[in-house]
Amino acid sequence: MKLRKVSAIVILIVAVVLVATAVGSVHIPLMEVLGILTSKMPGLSAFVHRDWSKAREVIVLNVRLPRVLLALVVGGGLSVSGVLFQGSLRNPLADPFIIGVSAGASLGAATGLLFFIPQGLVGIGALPLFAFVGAMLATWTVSRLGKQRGRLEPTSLILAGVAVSAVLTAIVSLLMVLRIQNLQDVYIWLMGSLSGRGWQHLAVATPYVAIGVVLALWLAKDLNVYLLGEEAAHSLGIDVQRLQSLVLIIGSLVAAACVSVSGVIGFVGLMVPHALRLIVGAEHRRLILHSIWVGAVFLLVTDTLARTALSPTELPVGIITACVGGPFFIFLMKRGSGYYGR
Amino acid sequence: MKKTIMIILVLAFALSIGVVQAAPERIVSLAPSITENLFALGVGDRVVGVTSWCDYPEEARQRTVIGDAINLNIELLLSLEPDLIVGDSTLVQSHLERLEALGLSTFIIGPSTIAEVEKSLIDLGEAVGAKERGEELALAMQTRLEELTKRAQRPERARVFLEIWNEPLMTVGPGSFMDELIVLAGGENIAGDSPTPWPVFSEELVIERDPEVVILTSFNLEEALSRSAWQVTTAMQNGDVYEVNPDLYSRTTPRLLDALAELIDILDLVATK
Amino acid sequence: MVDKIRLEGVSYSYERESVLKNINLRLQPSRFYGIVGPNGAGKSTLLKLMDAYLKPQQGIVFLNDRSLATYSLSDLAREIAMVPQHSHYFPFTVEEMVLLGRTPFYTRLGKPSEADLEIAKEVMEVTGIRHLAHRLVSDLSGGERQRATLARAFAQRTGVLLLDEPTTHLDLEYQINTCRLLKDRVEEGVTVVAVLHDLNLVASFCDHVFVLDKGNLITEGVPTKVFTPDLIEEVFHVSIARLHHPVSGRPIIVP
Repeated sequence: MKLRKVSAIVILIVAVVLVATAVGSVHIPLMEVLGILTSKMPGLSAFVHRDWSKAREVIVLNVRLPRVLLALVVGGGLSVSGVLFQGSLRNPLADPFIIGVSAGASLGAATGLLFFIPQGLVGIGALPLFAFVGAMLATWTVSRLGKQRGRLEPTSLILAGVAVSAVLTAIVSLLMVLRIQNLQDVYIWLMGSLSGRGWQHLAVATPYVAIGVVLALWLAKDLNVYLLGEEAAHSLGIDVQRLQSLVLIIGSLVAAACVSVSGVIGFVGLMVPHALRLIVGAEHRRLILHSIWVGAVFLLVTDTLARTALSPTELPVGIITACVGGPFFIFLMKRGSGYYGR
Repeated sequence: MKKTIMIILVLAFALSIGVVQAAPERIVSLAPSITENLFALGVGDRVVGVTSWCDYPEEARQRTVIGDAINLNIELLLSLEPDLIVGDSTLVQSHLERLEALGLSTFIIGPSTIAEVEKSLIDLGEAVGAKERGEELALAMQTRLEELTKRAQRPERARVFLEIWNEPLMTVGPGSFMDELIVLAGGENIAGDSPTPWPVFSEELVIERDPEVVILTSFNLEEALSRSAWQVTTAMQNGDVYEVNPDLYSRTTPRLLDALAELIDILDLVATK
Repeated sequence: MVDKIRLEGVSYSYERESVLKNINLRLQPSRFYGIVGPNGAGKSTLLKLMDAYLKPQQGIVFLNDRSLATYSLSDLAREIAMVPQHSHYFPFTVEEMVLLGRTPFYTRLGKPSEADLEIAKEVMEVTGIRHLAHRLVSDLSGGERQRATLARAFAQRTGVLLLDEPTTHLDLEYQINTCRLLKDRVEEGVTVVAVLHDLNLVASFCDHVFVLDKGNLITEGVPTKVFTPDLIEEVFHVSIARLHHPVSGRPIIVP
């Protein structure tokens, strides 16, 4: 039974990837797309007759394909990160940005754009690195502030997260107002988008997300117990402090990696885990596994809509995620959690 | 025999130079000022892609739109098969790196003074194979600039406030070419002591520094005239609040001198009062 | 006989305020211990010290004659189960939640074994929630949830069971049923320690009671001896009358 389910999911993902790669502002027939894709696969390339323009090949292989794959990675990463935050903060309304990842990443990016990139010290391709460092620094600050009596307390963490995010966001706004340099790049990046992302972004984000997912699954069993409460978890043999720190670190790393390549795409990290929990329950191994593929497909579909719905104009993907996810959430709430059968 | 060889060699050399320096045939512009300049350089028919803001000259509107200056549709751009993409460094930079990574040729200009605008015309001209025309344009600009500044000699400098946007109240400061326009036109920019080229300004300071001329660049004359606090300024009292075509003032093209001419006319008018 | 749990000279303070002072007590297997006292007496703290959730500033807590500090977390989990006062309820099924009680026995990538599933079935049977196995815990009534939590603790199959106010907010049927279930565990050899507010429950079911007030262990003993009107007046500041249960001979406390 499990194998059948897995095959169905894999087939779905492959199908969605193919469709997404085949659509875009420039109309390229499906057969041509398939041809281009196959021509790059070792062994099969001999069977394909090249009759498309170089431009189309670049569009499919260097513009669409990496973006599609990145959508899968970021969607899955943000969802898993959401699961981890909702678990460790014991709050189903937490999202991956709640303890400062997005604000920190924004300030990191702004700092890079202000002080390092114009001086030519690094190219604009280093922007993700700045964002990542900013995100992690902010998270570290929040975790230090969120300690009460030496313990990480979910409520304190959330409050500290709100406070630190507010301050960092204010600083970014201040910088933009002062307009010392042109921070339009920050603005664009803040909006959250997969537009113009290429293979190098995929290379940056994938390792973090992959490792994060593996670690999350490894900790899933402990997270289940942790949900019962700190005292109960302790009595079941869980080192509560260590688990909390680990989960927050892993969640932050994955979120920071995603944000650093795609900017702040809201809603995915909150909605997907939350909705899935209502459907498949809170058992974390199951929840994490489903969050990965549902989040991946969700972001891929919404991003594809974002770039094709009003072609040639591209909508920021965050608008689509909100429009699609919001009503769905309302529907789930009305349906109620009820029974669930396997 | 020697002569023939020489001729062949010279021809081959000339040909190879021609091959190496083949002028780009399919150019994409990423900013309205660049589009204007490309047409001014006489290569408008080689421009295949423009932004949605590129509205001058009229022909530019017929080219394929590949986005606005902030959002770029890379697929469309690629489908145009450009061999040169010209971008503005004062706008978005991330696109340019991305395009280079995809193997496209890019050329970047970003003038912030009038002298730099003249130079950019030469550089751009060279990049698109219209070097002579570029030099002509730069020279013409320089000549016209000198004529205009001669006209702008007045005993006193009128106080000018040039408004970029009303909410927040934005004006121009030293380092921007618009500030340069004010100074060249014989005026005094009341925001001339700002630390940045595009400062957000305080309404109080406007009132205190009492501009004699207010130039509006966002078609908000009615709104500006209705500001009660501003009624006390000399500009409002004398009716010297002018709405201008922002395209002339904000694009780094030879048309900047049209803006200069307009400013000079306005200040001449004000001086007679 | 080796004490199951022993506290020697245990004191605990929190932010410079003394919560428990110099507690000495011993707990044996097969006994039902009650801890009573007014609010703020330190009862919950005492329980948390017993399962090493808190560490004493002074004194030592012994389990099976070994200091708690020498036990690893997972070892402790096989010895002591705790039912805290407040529980969080996420959408687990009842069966999933009960199985959580078996996690100290899983391997790292662990899945519940056949044996674990059997134990889960058994404890759900015993606590009368077998029919709710596939319902979500968050959908249950208060009493049903409490029984599920109890089942989870039972599934841990430990020698010590600590409970912090397991009967508060439950109706009478559940209160009494819970105490009966705990009594059953006691007969199986478990050391049950419960913080209880209802003195009558303590009086009816507990073998031994500890009275705490303001961090001090005032007295201890069998309920009949301990629950005198004088003591209750001194500790709880109410005057009561004491009756005798016609069948069990246990004291009944009435205002």
